[in-house]
Parts: sequence; C-alpha cells; structure tokens
Amino acid sequence: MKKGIFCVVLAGAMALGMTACGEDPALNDPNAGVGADGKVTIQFFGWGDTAEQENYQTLCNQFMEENEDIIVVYDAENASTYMTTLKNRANNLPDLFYMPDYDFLEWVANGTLMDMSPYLTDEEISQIWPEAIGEYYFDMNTMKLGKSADAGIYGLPKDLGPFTLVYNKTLLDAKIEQYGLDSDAIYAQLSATDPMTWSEFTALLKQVDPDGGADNVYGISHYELEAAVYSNDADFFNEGAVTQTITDPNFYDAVQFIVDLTTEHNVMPSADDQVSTNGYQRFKGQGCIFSFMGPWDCAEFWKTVNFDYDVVPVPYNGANPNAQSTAWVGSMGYCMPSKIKNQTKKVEAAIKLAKYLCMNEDAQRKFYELGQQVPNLITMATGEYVNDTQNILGEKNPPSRSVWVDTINGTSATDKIGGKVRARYYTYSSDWYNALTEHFGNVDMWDGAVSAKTACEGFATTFQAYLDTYQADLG
Amino acid sequence: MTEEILQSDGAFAVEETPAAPTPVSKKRKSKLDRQENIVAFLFILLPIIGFCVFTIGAMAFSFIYSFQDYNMLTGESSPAGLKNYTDLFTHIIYSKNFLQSIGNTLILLISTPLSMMLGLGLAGLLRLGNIKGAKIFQVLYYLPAVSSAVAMNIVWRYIFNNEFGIINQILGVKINWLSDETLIKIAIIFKNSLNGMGGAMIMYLAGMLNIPKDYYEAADIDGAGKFRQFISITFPLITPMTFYLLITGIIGGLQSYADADVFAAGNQGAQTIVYFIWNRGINQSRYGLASAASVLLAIVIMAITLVQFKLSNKWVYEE
Repeated sequence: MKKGIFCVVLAGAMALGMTACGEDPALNDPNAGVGADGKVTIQFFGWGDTAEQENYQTLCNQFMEENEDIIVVYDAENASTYMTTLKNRANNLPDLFYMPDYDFLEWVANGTLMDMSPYLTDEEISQIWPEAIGEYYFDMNTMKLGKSADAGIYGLPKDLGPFTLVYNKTLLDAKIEQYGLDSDAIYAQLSATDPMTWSEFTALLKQVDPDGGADNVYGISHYELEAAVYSNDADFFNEGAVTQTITDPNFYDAVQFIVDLTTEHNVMPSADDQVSTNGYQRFKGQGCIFSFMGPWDCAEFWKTVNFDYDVVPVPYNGANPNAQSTAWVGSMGYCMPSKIKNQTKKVEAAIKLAKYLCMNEDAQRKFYELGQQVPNLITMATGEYVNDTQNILGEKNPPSRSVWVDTINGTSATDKIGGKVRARYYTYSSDWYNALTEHFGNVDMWDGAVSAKTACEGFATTFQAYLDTYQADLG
Repeated sequence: MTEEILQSDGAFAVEETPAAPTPVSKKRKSKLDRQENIVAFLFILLPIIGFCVFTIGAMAFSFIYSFQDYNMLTGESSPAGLKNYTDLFTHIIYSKNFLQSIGNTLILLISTPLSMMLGLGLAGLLRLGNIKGAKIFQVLYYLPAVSSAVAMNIVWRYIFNNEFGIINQILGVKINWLSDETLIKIAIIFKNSLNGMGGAMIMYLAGMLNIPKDYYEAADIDGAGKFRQFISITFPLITPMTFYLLITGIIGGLQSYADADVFAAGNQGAQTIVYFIWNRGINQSRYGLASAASVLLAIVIMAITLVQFKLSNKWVYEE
C-alpha cells in the first residue's frame, strides 16, 4: 500500500515534469498575449536597485500612455541574481529582457535570441552609437560576432559605458596643499582631451602619494587590467578569440605596469588590501585619489559621496608608438526570445518598447538625468549631454563628461582617446577571466614574486584550453 | 459484562470488563482507521510531493544529467558517458579546482568537532557552575544559530578585514586573513566554531538535563569527583547528542556554500565542493559537470553517514 502511494506520487511528479517539456501551441499563435479588450500584454524583465526599477516603471507607464493597446508587465531583481533567474526561465523567457554583453555570445549562439533586424530601419540604427549596436550583430551561419552581410541584430543597446579613470578632486586639492605641489601643473596633466602616458601618470601618483599610502590614502585604488592591456595595443586573444595572445610582450608589459604601481612605486594598495577593500569602496571612502568609474556609477555617487570628482582618459604606454588611451566599454542589450518570433502581436509590442527605451529622446534624457548612462542617441550625447544645453545636470559631477563620449566615439587610429569592448564579450563564457586573475594571485605576481612575463607564460596553456573549449561550444 | 476480582484485603470486587468485539464494531473500527489514515496521508501529501519533486526528482535529474552534456538554454542534451566524471579529475580547466575544493571542504570540517567541544564546555559551565544570568548567556550563545548565514558572514568579513578588521586591530598586526589561501581557512574554522557552539550548547544542555540526578548522588556517595562524574556519567549519557551533532555537522559542512561565496568572496583557498558545483553549473552553464560533482558529493555524504551509523553502535548510549 505504502509503496503504491509513493509510486503514484512519484509518477505524478515525473509526469508533471515531462508535461512541462512539451512545446506550447501558443508559440505559433500570432495573437498570443492579446486580451479580450484587444490589448496585448508583454513581460519585460530587468535588473537594478529600487531607484532604477522605479525609473523603469515610470518609463513603462509613459510608454503605455502613448501606446494604449499595449500593457507592459515590468519585473526586475538584483543584478547579482539576475542571470541565474533568467537561465532558470530559459524555457519560458519574458518577451523583453536585459542581456549583459559578456553573456550575449552564449545566448545568441544557442539560438535563444530573436533577430530584431527585420523590424529596424537604417534610419533608426543610424541614430545610435555604431559601437553600441555593433555589439549585437551575430551571423548564425558563421557563428561570428560583428556586423557582416548575413548578420542579424539580436539586441538593442540599453547603453554603452566606458570605464575611465576618475579622481577625487577634493582630496587631490588637499594633497596639493599638503605637499606644496604645483596645482596648475597637475591639473594641466589631468586633461579631458590629452591623455597621460604611463610614465607621466606614475610620476603624478608619486607626487600626490609620496608616503606609499601610509596615511591610508593611496594614489590609486587599483588598475583595470583591460585599461592597461588595451592602452598598450595588446589584447587577450586574436580576432574571434581563437588563439591566446597573453604571451605577447605588449600584453605582459601592460600587466607589469600594474604590478609596478604597487611593488616599485608604492602608490597602489597591495593585492591583499585590494581584496579586503575593493576599488569602488576605497574611492567612495576617500582612501585613494584615483580610481575607475563608468557612467552608471553616477546615480550612486550623486547620492552618497560628498566630494567633487572628475573623469580623465585612461593613460597609455607612451613608449609604444602604436598605443593610445583605450578604456574598456561595456554594454547591456534589450533582447527578445526567439521562441516568440511567430507571436506577431507580442513581437510588435516588444520591439516597440525596446525601441522606446533605446532610442526615444524622453527616455534617454531621463536615463542621463538619473545618472545611469551616456545617451544612446549620438546627437543627444555629443550635444545636450556634454554641454548640458537642457540645464538638467547643472553642477553635477563629473564635469568632463565629454571623456566618456570621446571614449565611445574614438575608434579611428588617429584618435587620442578610444574605447574597446571588454574582452569577456568575445568569449562563449567568462570563466577564463577569473581563472587568469586567480593565476596571477596564485603565483604571487602582484607581490612581485614572479614577473608578469613568467606569470602570463605560466597560464598560456590553460588559457588556450579555455579558448579551445569555447570554440567547441560554438561548434 | 462483569467479573469478580479478589482484592488484597480478601474481599471480592466487581469490575466491568470490556465486551468482546462484535463483527459490527470491528468493521466500524476498520472504517475509522481507514478514514484516519486518509486524513493523516492528506496532511503529509504536500511535503511528500515536495520531497518527490524537489529532492528525489532533482536527484534523479542530476544523476541523468551527469552522464550528459546538457544545455539549459536550448533544453537539449547529448550523451557524454563518463566524460563529466573524468573531467572532474583530469581536465586541465576543472580538475585542479575540483580537487582543491574537496581538500578545502575537508579541512573546513574541523570546525564541526571544535564547535561541539566549545558547546559541550559551555553547556557544562552553565549546567554545573552556579552562573548568574545563565539564561541570558544561553540566548546570546544561541543567537548566531538563528541568524542569517549571509548576514553573519558579512559581519565576520568586516571583523577579519585585512586592513581595518577588529581582529587585526586588537592584535596590532596586519594579517591577510581574507586574501591568503591558508589564513582564510583558519578564519573560517574560527568563525564557524564560534557560530556553531551555541547550537551545540543547547543540544548538550538538553541532554544533560535529561540525566537523572540519582546517578550523580550515587557517584557522590562513592566519592567520585566532578571531573570523574563528567567522564563516567555525563559524557556517555549525552553521546546521542554528540552523534546527532556530528552527523548534522558533517553533512552541513560538506554542503557548505555561504562561507566560500559571501565570507571568502570566492577566494580559492575557501572554495568548497558546493561552491564548485554552483560556479561551474549555475554560473558557467556546465550543468553536466556540476551534476557529476553533485552525484559524487551525494555518494560521499551517504557513505560517511552510513559509516557513522554503523559505528554508532559502539559508542552511542541507548536506553
């Protein structure tokens, strides 16, 4: 009897699970999501803190007012758990959702995302940063990222954020006074248009932090690996992320530059101290003068920091004639599930919402007003955002917002300032990045126990194994 | 029906004896029993379904997926044979990480006996010593056991902070607790021993309260001192508690995750098997590999628990 009951319950549970595996016939219904009142309901899923969620809800409400035949059900959760939730919902994805660029390749290569290009006009595309929309091109035949004749557009950019150098102006002024430094000379180096070289920047850090952080204020909190690598005309792998290039001298010289900031120049906390207090916390706590920030940090900084700050382009290796200031840029996309491609009404509504959030002037204005991003619209970013022609930003930091726009915009070889998509975007998975930084820590490279060259060479085989695995994953 | 019974004073008393069950009442009783069983079954039906779906079902799927290359995004899977299992021990990317996580997990289990010893000591002090406000101490020591593991780990992370942590400040040194692979293990063992001692204390205290006072009085008469009494009476009689704490502590330790993720923030020296499973499975979409690691972990936990139960006959007191 007991066994019988147990078997019945178990069989029921298994049957329930199996039922969930069947294809939903509604997926081929063009009118799916359309209610009795003729309105189509779509689900939109994102992430963000309470303020960002409220902002998105306001924009969704505004969108619904302008499109009375569409109901948007907006839902969001914490950024740290977002992707886990999204993966768990992979079988039943919302109609529109965020997709970070470093996860894009895995999702698009698996055919999970819908090609939005049939719904986009050239005129619409030309309004937004080509670098931003460019991240969401993918060719399903060649399984390659980037714009090509057969590539579709599998997402619309939510934003494009450069991660540039930032300095605490209030603290810097105090240090200038404390050490009797030449203020004009220092500020001349902190130019928004003329980036510093590594040697100039190191010298500046030694000037403002001559005691090696003994007063608990360091010259710089940490250094972004990609900012150094990219600004020495190097990369982690070749095009297509097929072969590792970390054994290239330009690569390990860039890494060695970071190591030397701690071990040789004493202007950056040790790796151990960076673990206990990360760069973001240290900068907010005024434990350093320089750090790194992206446009999305403004919202939090405006609320919580009580000092002035400004951004400057990342320094580059002046000894390398091919090097230029190159910060990494990150993006998030608005994507749609491929499964709904036949649900015409839903697709039309979701595309409309994605375009609204990505390209609508009011929406973009609201985003930069709240300190969340540089506008996607080129004319708005280069005009009213940089010059604050609408008097929206006023005295808000950072005054040199043009650095972010220049970083996005600077793509030609003659530009002094440029940006490059973060390396993790190009690989099927991001685990190699953690493994690389863990390896640097394991061999005590950050403490100077081994050179950057030795550390990089020691990881080359493993890194290649990662890349080979990703290539196999891509098929 | 009545029956005459001979009482102690020699008189006879008349007592009613229950009537023999008739076929009708037997039938009714059986019907009542059946109804009662159905109600009882309905009460436990929901947990049984939950257990089948979320435990048995999940275990079955994990076992199946451990032999497959499963892609959660497409819902497709292809047979992988034993590849996921062999990859755990031989693959250049995963093996070192997996073996290290096994080692870390085993080392961190040291906190289980330590917390038991501390809990036993505290329980002994509170039971035998005449301490004022013993109840308050009980509540205070037990507080970590009812607090959120994540919140506790965040607080401990501040305590062990390399730069401005309380421990370093009190000791007047700069020890890299959070970044060194060995020191972080010591920090976790210390933290978990203190966090776990409250729970152990409560269990031991409950065990001690159940020991009849007669035993101690007899021992007093025989001239046994307090220590002798503890060794010969208290300790053997609370072995069921020790057994329970050991079983749950080891199972909990083998399933440890929050220490690695929240307290150690992914420090390699603190990555446990469950952290490996989460990281490779959920974080990096290697579901087959993570399932294989889960199956191995389940087997190890079952084996250890079985051995503990087998050996318990030799040292656990039973009335």
